Amino acid sequence: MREQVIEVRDLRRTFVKRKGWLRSGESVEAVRGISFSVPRGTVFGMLGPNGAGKTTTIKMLSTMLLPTSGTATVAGFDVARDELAVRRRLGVLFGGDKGLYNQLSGRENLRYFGRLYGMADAAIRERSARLLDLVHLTDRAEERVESYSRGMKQRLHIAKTLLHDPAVVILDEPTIGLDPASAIDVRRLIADLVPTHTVLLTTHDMHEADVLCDDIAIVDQGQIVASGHPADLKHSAEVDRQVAITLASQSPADRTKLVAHAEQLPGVTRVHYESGTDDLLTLRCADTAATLDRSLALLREIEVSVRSVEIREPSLEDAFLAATGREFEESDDTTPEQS
Amino acid sequence: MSTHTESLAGKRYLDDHNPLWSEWRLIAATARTHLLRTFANPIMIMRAPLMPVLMLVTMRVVYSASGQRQIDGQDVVGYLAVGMLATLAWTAAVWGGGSALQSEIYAGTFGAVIVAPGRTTSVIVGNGIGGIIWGIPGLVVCLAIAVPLGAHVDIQHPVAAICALLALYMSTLAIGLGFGGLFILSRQANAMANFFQAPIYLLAGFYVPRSVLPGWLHAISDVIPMSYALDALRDTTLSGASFMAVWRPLLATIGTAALFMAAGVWSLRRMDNALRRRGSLDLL
Repeated sequence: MREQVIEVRDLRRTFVKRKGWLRSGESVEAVRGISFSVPRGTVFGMLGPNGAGKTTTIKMLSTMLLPTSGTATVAGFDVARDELAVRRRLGVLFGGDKGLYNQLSGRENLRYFGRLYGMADAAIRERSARLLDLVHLTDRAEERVESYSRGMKQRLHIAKTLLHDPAVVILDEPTIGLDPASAIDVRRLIADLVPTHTVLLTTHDMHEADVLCDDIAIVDQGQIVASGHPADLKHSAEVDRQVAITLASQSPADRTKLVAHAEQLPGVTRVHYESGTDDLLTLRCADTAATLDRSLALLREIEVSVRSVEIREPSLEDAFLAATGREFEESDDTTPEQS
Repeated sequence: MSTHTESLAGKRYLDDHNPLWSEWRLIAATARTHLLRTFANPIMIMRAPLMPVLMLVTMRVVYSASGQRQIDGQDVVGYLAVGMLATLAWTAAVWGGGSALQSEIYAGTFGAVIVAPGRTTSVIVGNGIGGIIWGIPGLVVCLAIAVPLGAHVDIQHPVAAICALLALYMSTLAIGLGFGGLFILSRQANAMANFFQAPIYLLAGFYVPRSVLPGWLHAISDVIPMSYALDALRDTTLSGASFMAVWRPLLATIGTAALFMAAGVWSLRRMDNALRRRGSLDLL
C-alpha cells in the first residue's frame, strides 16, 4: 500500500462573521467534515467553484488556520500541533498576485525566502540557479519583480515554492488570472513535479484538474461531493456520450432517410438533426468509437459528404452536475468576509 | 524538465546543524532585504539624511526662541543631537521592527513569511536592525550639522559611550519586538505607531528633560528602556562620564528592555495562535 503523505479526517472550520462591536456574529461553516488522503508522488486536485471551501482547507493544511475540529497530517505531522515540522516540509503557493517582494529582483526574492526556510548559502545559490532556469527566468533574474508580467511572477512563485525542495507542494489556484500560454507553461511545471513531490492542487478549472490530477475531490459548499480518478468521475456522471457529425446540407427527403438509417445503428440511443448552412447529425450512444465507425460507414454508403466529426465524452463539469445537481457556475460564494 | 531526482521530506537543503546560527543569518538577511527594499524608493533615499537635520534645526530654533541655552546642564544643540539619534533609533524600532509584519502585509508577503519555518521574532529584529543601519547616514549628517551649530561634545571614555549607544539600540529593538505582536493583533500598526510617537518623545526625554515631567508621569517614563539609555548616552558623550558613572542607567536599560523583549516574544506567540484560531491571517 502506498504511503499517504497527506491525511485529512473529518476536517471542519467554522468562521464567525463580525457584525460590529455589540452585535454577535453569525457562524459560517466553510468546511464541513472533509476527509481525503494523498499518496506519495501523486497530484491530488480539489475542484470546486469559488467559496466551496478549497482555500480554507488549504489554509488549514498549510498551518495558517486552525481547524475547528477534525485532524490533518502532512508528512506524518499534525498541522495543528506540529506546525513548525509541517512548515519545513511544505511548499505553499497561494493564489493571486501576492507573496513576492516587488522591489527586489527575482534572485533576491529566492535568496531571502531560502533564508526563511533555513537554507545554507551554497544550497540557496544552487537551487536558485536551477529553479530560475527551470521556470525560464534566468535572463530576467536580476530585474525587479515589479517589472515582471503576471505569468513571470507566477513562475517565480513556483520557484520560490520549490526552493527548499519540500516533500509536499500545495498549489492554490496556480493558473488563476494567467493568459493561456502562461497557464500551459505553469501546468507543465506542475506535471513535472511528480513523482518526486506530492502535490495538492486547488482549482476551479475543469481542464486543469482533468489533465494534471491522479485523483480529484469535487468540493461544494464545504463538503466533498464526489472523489476519485478523473476518468471514473466522468464515467460516474452517467451522461450520454455523443458523436456529432457536420454534413453538407441535405434535402428534406434525404434528411428523413438519413435519420431513419441512423436510428437503426446498433448502440445509438437517440438521434438529433439540425439543419443550417451545414447540417449537424448528433448521435447519442454508449460507445463513441463503435458508433463513429458505423455512422461513417453509413454516410459513405449513402454518399453523404462529411465536413467534420466531433466526439463528446462526459466532462468533469458533467460529474459536478451529477454530484451537486446544479451547474458549476451557479454555486454561491460562502467565503466568510470577516472572522 | 525534471526538478531533481529525489525529495527527502524537505530536509535535503535545510541547514539544521546550528539553529541559532540559522536564526542569526535570517536576521542578517532580513536586515539586508529591508535595506534593499527601502533603497528602491527614491523618496526614502532623499528623506533619510534630511529628516533628522530638519528636525534638529527646528528644535534648535524653538529652544533659541525660548532663550534657553542649556538643558539639564548640557548645551542645547548637543542635547538635541543625542535626542535626534534616539529619534532615528525609535523610528527604526517602530517603523522598521514594530511595523515589520504590517509592512509584509502591505507587500502581500505576510502569508509567505508566516508559513515559512523562520521565526517571526527574527524577521522583526532583522527589520529593526535594517532600519537602524538605514538611519546611519542621517545620524552622520545630523552630527556634522550639530557641531558647527554649537554642540559641545565631550567623550572622555569612548567605550562607555559605545556601550551607551548599543544600549540605546538594544532598547529600541526590544520595544520594536514588544510592539510587533501588539501591532499585528490590533491590525492598526500605523495608527498605533503614530499614536505612541509623541508621548515617547516626551516620556523618554528625547528633546525635553525628564526632570520637568510631573511626578506621576515618571512612573511611565521609568519603564521605557530608552529613557535610561538616553541618560547614559548624554552623560558619556556630552559630559565625559565614565562607565562606572553610567552603569546604573545601563543596567536599568537592560532590565526594562528584557521586559519588553519577553512581552514581545509572548505577544508574538499569542499572535500566531490567535490569528490561526481566528482565521484572520489572510485578512490582514
